[in-house]
Amino acid sequence: MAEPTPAAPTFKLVLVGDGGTGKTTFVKRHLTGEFEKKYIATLGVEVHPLAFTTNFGQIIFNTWDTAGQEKFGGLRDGYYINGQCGIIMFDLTSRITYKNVPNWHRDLVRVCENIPIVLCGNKVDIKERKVKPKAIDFHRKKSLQYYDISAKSNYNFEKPFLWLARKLAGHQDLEFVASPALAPAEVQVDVGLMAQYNEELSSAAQMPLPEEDDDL
Amino acid sequence: MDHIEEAVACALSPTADPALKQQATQYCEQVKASPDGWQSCLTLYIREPKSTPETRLFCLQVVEEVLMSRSNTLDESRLNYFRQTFMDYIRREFVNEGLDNTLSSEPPYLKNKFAHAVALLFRQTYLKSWPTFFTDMLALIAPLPQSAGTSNMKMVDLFLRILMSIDEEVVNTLTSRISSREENTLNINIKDQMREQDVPRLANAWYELLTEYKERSLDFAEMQLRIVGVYVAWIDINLIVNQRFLSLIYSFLLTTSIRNAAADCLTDIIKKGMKPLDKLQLIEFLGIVEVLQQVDLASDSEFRERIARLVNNLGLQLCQIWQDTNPQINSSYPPTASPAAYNHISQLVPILLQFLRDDNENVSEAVFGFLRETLNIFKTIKKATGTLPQEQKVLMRQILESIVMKMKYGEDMDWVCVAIAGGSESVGTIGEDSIGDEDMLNFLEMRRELKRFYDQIAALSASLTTNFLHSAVTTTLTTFVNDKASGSTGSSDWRDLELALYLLYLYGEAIKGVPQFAVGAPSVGANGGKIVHPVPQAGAPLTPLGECLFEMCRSGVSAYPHPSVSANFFEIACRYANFFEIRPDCIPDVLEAFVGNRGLHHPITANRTRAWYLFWRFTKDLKFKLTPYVETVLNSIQDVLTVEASLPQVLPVDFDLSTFKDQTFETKTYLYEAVGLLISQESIPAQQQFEYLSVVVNPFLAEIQKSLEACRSIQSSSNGVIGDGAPVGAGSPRHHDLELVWTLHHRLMALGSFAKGFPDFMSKKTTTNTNTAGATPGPGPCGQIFKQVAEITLIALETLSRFEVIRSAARYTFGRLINCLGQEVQPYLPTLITGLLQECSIMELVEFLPFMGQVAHKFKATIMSILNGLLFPLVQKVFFFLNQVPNGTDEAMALIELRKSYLGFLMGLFSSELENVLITEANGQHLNLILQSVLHYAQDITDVPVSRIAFGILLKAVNSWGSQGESSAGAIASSTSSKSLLSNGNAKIVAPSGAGSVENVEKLEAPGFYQFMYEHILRITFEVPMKPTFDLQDGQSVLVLGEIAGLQKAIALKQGDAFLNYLNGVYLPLIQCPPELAQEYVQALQQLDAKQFKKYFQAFIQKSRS
Repeated sequence: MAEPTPAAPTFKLVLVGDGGTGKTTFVKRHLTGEFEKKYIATLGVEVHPLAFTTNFGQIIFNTWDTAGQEKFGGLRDGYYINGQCGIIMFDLTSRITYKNVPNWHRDLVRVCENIPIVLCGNKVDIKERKVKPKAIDFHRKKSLQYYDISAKSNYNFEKPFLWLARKLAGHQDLEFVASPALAPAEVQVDVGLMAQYNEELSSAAQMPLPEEDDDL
Repeated sequence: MDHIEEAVACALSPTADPALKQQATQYCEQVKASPDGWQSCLTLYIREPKSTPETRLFCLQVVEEVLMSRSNTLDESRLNYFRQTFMDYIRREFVNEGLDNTLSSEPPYLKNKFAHAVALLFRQTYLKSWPTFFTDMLALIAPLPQSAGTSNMKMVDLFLRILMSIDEEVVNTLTSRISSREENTLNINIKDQMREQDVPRLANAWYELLTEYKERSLDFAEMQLRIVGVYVAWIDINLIVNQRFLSLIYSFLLTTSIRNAAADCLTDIIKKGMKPLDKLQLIEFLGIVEVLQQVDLASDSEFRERIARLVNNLGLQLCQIWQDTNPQINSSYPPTASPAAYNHISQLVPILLQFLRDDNENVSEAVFGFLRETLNIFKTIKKATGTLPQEQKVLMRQILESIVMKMKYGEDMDWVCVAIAGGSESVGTIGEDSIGDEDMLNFLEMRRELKRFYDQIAALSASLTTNFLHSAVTTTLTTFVNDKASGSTGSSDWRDLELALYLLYLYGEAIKGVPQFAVGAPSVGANGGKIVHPVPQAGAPLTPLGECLFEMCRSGVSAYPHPSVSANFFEIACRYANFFEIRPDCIPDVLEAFVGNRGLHHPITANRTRAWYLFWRFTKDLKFKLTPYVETVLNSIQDVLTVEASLPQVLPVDFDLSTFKDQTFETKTYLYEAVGLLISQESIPAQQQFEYLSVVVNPFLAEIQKSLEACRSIQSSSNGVIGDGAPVGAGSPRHHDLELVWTLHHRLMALGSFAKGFPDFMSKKTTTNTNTAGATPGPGPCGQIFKQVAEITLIALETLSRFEVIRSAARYTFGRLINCLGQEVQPYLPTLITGLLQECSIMELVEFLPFMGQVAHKFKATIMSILNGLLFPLVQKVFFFLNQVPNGTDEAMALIELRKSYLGFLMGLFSSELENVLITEANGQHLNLILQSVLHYAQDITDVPVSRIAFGILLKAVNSWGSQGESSAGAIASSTSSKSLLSNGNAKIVAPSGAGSVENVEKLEAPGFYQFMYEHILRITFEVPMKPTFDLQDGQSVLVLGEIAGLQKAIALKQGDAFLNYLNGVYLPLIQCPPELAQEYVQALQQLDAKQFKKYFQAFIQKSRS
C-alpha cells in the first residue's frame, strides 16, 4: 500500500445519515482506508483516511464515519466540527431514511457552513427500491450533488469523492487517474435497471419542485 | 461535572486511546442524561474565561436536549432561568461588550448552535411567558449610543441566525418532525401569534436592515434576503411585495456579489402558494420581464443560471395559471384571466429561448421545465381548436431552431460511438457505462432531453418539423458538396455534418406511420376511379425525406474523414432501408462505404463492430436488391472474416473459460450471418452459391482441421478452469492451450453463423416449393459444405467435449445446420447428443432440452428412432440433477429452470405428436417413472406455473392414452419396478373392471397408464385444489383449476360410464362426499360442456373447502 505523501492535501469528510443506511460498508469498500483506518471501538465514530490519486496529485479524505451514533448518542454534531465536506447517506429501500435527510443536512450545515455536500442513495442493487428517482429532489433545493450508489457492488463508489475533490480543489477538470483498490463487489448491479434509474433521475430533474406547504 | 472539558476533548480526539475514549464518551452520555446536567453545562457554556469551543458545543447539545426532548421537566421558573441566563449572556457577549463594528469572534458553529438553543426556548415560551421575544430582540439590535445611528452588527448577526432557526423549528416543511398533535398545534399557534403581533414589525426591520447592510456588509444583506425568501411562504405577501421593498430587492440584482441571493429571493416570492388570480396579480405587479432587461447577464454563468431558474419558475407559475383558469376547464374565473396569463407567457418565451440557447448547459437545462409546459399548452390549444394558430407556430419554429442548435456537439468535445437512439438498440456500440467523461455523459443526456422536446414538437406539427429538417439537412449537405467541389475539403466542420445526419435520423420520428420515400402516383383502379394502395414506382418523384436520403448518398458525405459522419450514415441507411427499394441506384454508395475503411474495416473498434451489426441489418432488409454486388462484397471483406480469439495476458486463478465473454466476436457473428444471407439468395444459381460458400467456409475448415491436431495433445485434465493456485500468463503452455480452444470455439460459432444466414430449407420446401424454379428439393450443393461443417464440428466435439465452450458452440452450430440440412442432419445427431450430454452442467441441460424440442418439432415422426434411443438417458440425466440438493441460490435457480425445461420438453413431445416415444419397447418400462415425476410437479403448488404445465402434460397424456382399458394394466404387473412404485400409493383403489374398449389395436399400449389414471391422476385432481395452501384468489391458481377441470372432463370423455360409475360408486364415497352431492357432481361432469363444468368445478371446490 503506497504511503500517502506527507504533502498530500487532507480534508475532513463527515459521513452522516440514519443507522443502517450503509455508511460503514461504504467507507470500508476502499481498501486503503480499511487497511489504515484507525478504529475507535464502540464509540460510534471511525476515522478512515481514504486516499485518491488525481491528475493534480494525491488527495486524502479523512472520513469521519459516524456509524452507530444514532443509537448510542455519542458526541453527535461534535464530530462535525471543522468538517470540510460531507456525505449524507440514505437507504433507497427505506423511505424514512430519505425523509430524515433534511434533518441531517440541517444539523450538518449548522456546524459546517458552506461546505460541499453529496447526497447518496445507497443499496441501488436491491430490486425492491422504495425511494423512486422522481421522489429525490432534496439535493436540488439545497444545491447538493446526488448519486445513486451501491456500496456492496461498488457502483458509483468514486463519484461522490470525485465531485467533492473537484469542489475542494476548485478544478472542474480534476480526474482520478487510478482507481482505488476496492473490495470485490459482493453483488452485481443490473446494468439495464441502472440505466432506467438514470433515465428516471434525469427526467425527474426536469420536474418542477413541488410547492412548499403554506397555510393559506 | 468537573471533568466535562477533559471528557469532551478525549471523546473527540481521533488519536486518543480507545478505552479512555470510550470512558470519556460514556461520561458525556451520563452528563446528558442526568436531570441537572444541563445546569452545569449552561454554567460552563457562559463561563469566563471561556472553555474550548468543542466543550461549549457539547454544553449546548445538553441544553438543547432538555429544551427539545425534556421540556416537560421545565417548569415556569426554570424556563425563566433559561431566559434570564440567555439574555444576560446575549447582553454581555453581543451588546455590552460589542464595539459595534466588530463581529463576535465565536466560531460560526457556536453562534448557530446558540441561536438554535434560543429558538428552542422561544418555542417553549413565546405563547406564555415571553410574548415580547421579538420586541426584546429588536431592541437589542437597535443602534448603540456610541455607534452613530448604525445597528448593532453582532446582534444582527445573532438575530438573523435565530430567525433562521425559528423557521427550521416551527415552520419549515422540509424538516421531518415526529410531532404530536399538540406540537403541531403549538407551531400553528406560534405562527398565528407572530403574524398578528410581530411580523409587520419584523418585515419593517428586514427592510431597514437590508437598506443599511447594502452599504455595510453584503454578507448580512445576503442572509437577510434568504430569510425573506424563507418567511415569504407564510406571511402576508404585501409586507414584501410593495414598491419600496421590491425596488430594494431589484437593486440587489445589480449588485454583483449578492445578486444570486436576490434572484433566489425573487424565485421564492414567485413560488409562494396563492390562488391563480392573486398570483396573476402578483406577477403583474412584480414586472420581472421589464427588470430583466436591465440586468447584466453577459459574464457570469452562475448568475445566468439563477435568473434562468427564476424565469423557469415564473413560466411554470404562468402555465399553471393558464391551465387553472382555462375557460374550457374551469368557468369560475373571469374570461380575461387565461388570455392575460398567455400574454405573459408569450412575453417570456423570447427570454426562455435566450436561455435555452445559452452556451452553458446548466443555464439551458434550468428552463427545460417551462419549455415542456409551454409545449403542453400548445397541445391543449391544438386539441381545443383543431389546429395550431400561426402565432404558436412561429414560436414553435423558434423553439425547434434553438433545440437543434443545442443538439450540436460542442467545440471542445470528442465524439464517441454510442447508440444513436439512446439505449435500447446498441449492439456493437460503446456502452455509456464505460464513458468516464462527465461532460460527454451530460451532453448525451441533454441530447436525449432535447429529443423529447423534439418529439413533442413533431407530434404537434409534423409538417413544420419535417420542413425544418429538410431545409437544415439539405443546406448542410449542399454546403459540403460545394466546399468539396471548390477544393476546400475539410472546411465543413464534422459537428455540422454529424448534426445534419443526426437530424436526418430523427426525421422518421416526425412521420406518423411508415415513412414514404417517393410520391406514390395514386393508381386508379379499373372499377371507377377508386384509389387503390399507392405504390411508388422506382424512379418516382421523391418525398422530402427521400430527397434528403438521395442527397446524402450522392454527396459522398460518408467519405468524410470524421468517424461520426460515417457512423450516422450507416444508422440512417439501416433505418430507411426501404428507400433503396425505390432508389436501388444508391445502393452501391452504401455498400462501398460499408466494405471500406469507413465501415467493416474501420480502425476504431466501436465503429467497426457497430458497422458489422448494421451491415447485417442492411443485408437482411435488402438482400434481394443486393444480388449484383455479392461477389464484390465478398471479395472486399474476406479479410474481416478471420477469427481473432485472444485471452487476457494473465488468467487469474478464478478464470473460467465458460464464463468468459468476447463481445467483439459476439458482434462479429452478425457479419457471418450477413454473409450467409448474401450467398443464399434465391436469385443466385445453386452452383454459384456453392462456390461463394466454399470460398468463405474452406479456410475455416482447413484451420480447424489443423488446430484439431494440436488440440489432441491438450492435457485431458484441462477443461477451461484455471483453479489450481497460480495465475496463468501469456506464453505458458496452458495459456496457449486455452487460446487454442477459444479459437476453435469462435470458428465453430462462425460456421454456425454462416449457416444461420441460410433460409430454413425445410419450411421453404413446404411454403414456396413451386417457386424454386428448377432447384432440386433438398439442401442443394451447399448442403455438401454444411455436411462437412457438421462432420468437423462432431470431430471437434469428440476431441474436446470436456470443454463447455466447445459443447456450447457445437450445440449452436447444429441448431443452425438443422435448418440448412434438413433430414440429412439426422445421421449426425446421435453422436452430437452423446457428446453434448457426456459432461453437461445444469444450465447446459436447460438449454439442451429446448434444442431437442426444436429437433423433435422439426423432424416429427422421422426422428422417432433417434429419439427412442436417446430418451431414457436424457431423462436419467435430468433426474440426476433434479434429485440433487441445490448448493446455493444460483444452483437452486438453475434447478427451477431445469424443471421448466424438462416439462417443456415433455409437452413438446406431445405437440410434435411424438408421445409414442414414451411407450416404445425401450422406454415403456420407464413410463411410470416419468409420469410419477410429472405427478410430483403437478402437486407442488409452491410453483404454480410449473404445476400448471404438469397438469397440461397429464391432460395430453389422457387425450393420447386415456381410452385404454383395464386389459393393458396387466402389462404393468410384469414390470417389477413400476409395481413397487405403484404400491406406494396411499389409497388402495380397485379399478373398475371391463371398462372401455381398446379403440385401435394397432396403437401402442401405454403400460400401466389405465391404472395410473385412476389411481393417481384422479386422486390429485381433488387433492391439489383441496390443499389449504392452494390459493383460490390467485390468478395463476385459477388457471390450474381450469386445467384440472379439463382433465376430469377428458377422462370422462375417454372412459365414459366406467369412469362416471367409479366416481359415483367408489371414489367420491371414499373421500367422504355425501351421496347426493356425488350424484350431482357426476351429472355435472357428464352433462355440462367444458366451460360450464369448469365453473361448476370451481364452485364445487370452493364449497368443499369451506
